[in-house]
Amino acid sequence: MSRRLINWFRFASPASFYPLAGRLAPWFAAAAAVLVAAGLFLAFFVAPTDYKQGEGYRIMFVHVPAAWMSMFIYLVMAGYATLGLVLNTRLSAMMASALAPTGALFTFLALWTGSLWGKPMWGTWWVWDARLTSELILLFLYLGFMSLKAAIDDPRRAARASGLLALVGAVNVPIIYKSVEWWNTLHQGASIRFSSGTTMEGTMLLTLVVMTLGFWMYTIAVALTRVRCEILEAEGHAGWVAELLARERGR
Amino acid sequence: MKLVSWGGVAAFFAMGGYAFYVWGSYGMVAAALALEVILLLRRRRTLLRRLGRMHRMRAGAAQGAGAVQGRVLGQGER
Repeated sequence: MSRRLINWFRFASPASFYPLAGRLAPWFAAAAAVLVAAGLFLAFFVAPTDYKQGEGYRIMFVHVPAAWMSMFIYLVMAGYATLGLVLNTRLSAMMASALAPTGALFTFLALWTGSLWGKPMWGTWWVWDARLTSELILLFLYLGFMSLKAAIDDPRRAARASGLLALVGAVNVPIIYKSVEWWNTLHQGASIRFSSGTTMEGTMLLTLVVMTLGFWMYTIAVALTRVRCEILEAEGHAGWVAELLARERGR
Repeated sequence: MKLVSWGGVAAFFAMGGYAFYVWGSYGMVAAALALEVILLLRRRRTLLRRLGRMHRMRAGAAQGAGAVQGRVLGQGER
């Protein structure tokens, strides 16, 4: 029991997580490449033309995965931030800030592709509708989290303040998710529901799932690589970094 | 598995009249993800170079100090 606990907490230390993240990242990157390639093939050559939206609906295969990832990454980020606030572990706060830029990127992509989808289908690039507005707020939450973290010099205080912001902002995620039910919006309702299953054609659903998994693996690969940078920036003076750099030079 | 019959490369790129919107979406996704990866790898490279320089200088300074100390001690013995 005690041994397992020690082994588990070993990777909560930045010095031992650094090499582990370095070993894992290439595998996630490879998985992301394979899944996104398969997803693109499905999106353009297998998924049938939509009877109502023609070929324009193919935007969905990047729009929906990007939007899902934008919310999912926020929840994971807020989870790490909470862990950091409660347990005061440095690595949790580093993981939270490693995830934020990728989350912000997917939020921007969800808004961008949504705008390009809205123009031909609704006749407008943007409306102040509940779904769109709450997604825009999500982008501001990500940017606020990153700026707050960058604005405070002391890393512990920066982690605490930005962690609190991430935690409070998490309330926005269920609002985005439920906005199409709670308010009468221009944005279409969810095509996939946990309760009643899907109203979507099989290959379309498969394409969405494959693309989402690809984006997910991409996120993990990028976050692991970025957390290694965060670790090096925070612990650059430590002895283990010197040893590591000497070893890499020797190789 | 039934494949979509596009009927030519031109028709594929035309996307049934939605070319601007579809390629504008996929293009931005590709560009954004590529940019993120490039910036991240560059951040890692400059960071490693900076830390490497710092630790080499530190190691060099420690060695230099040791050498000076050794020489001073050696003189004292003589």
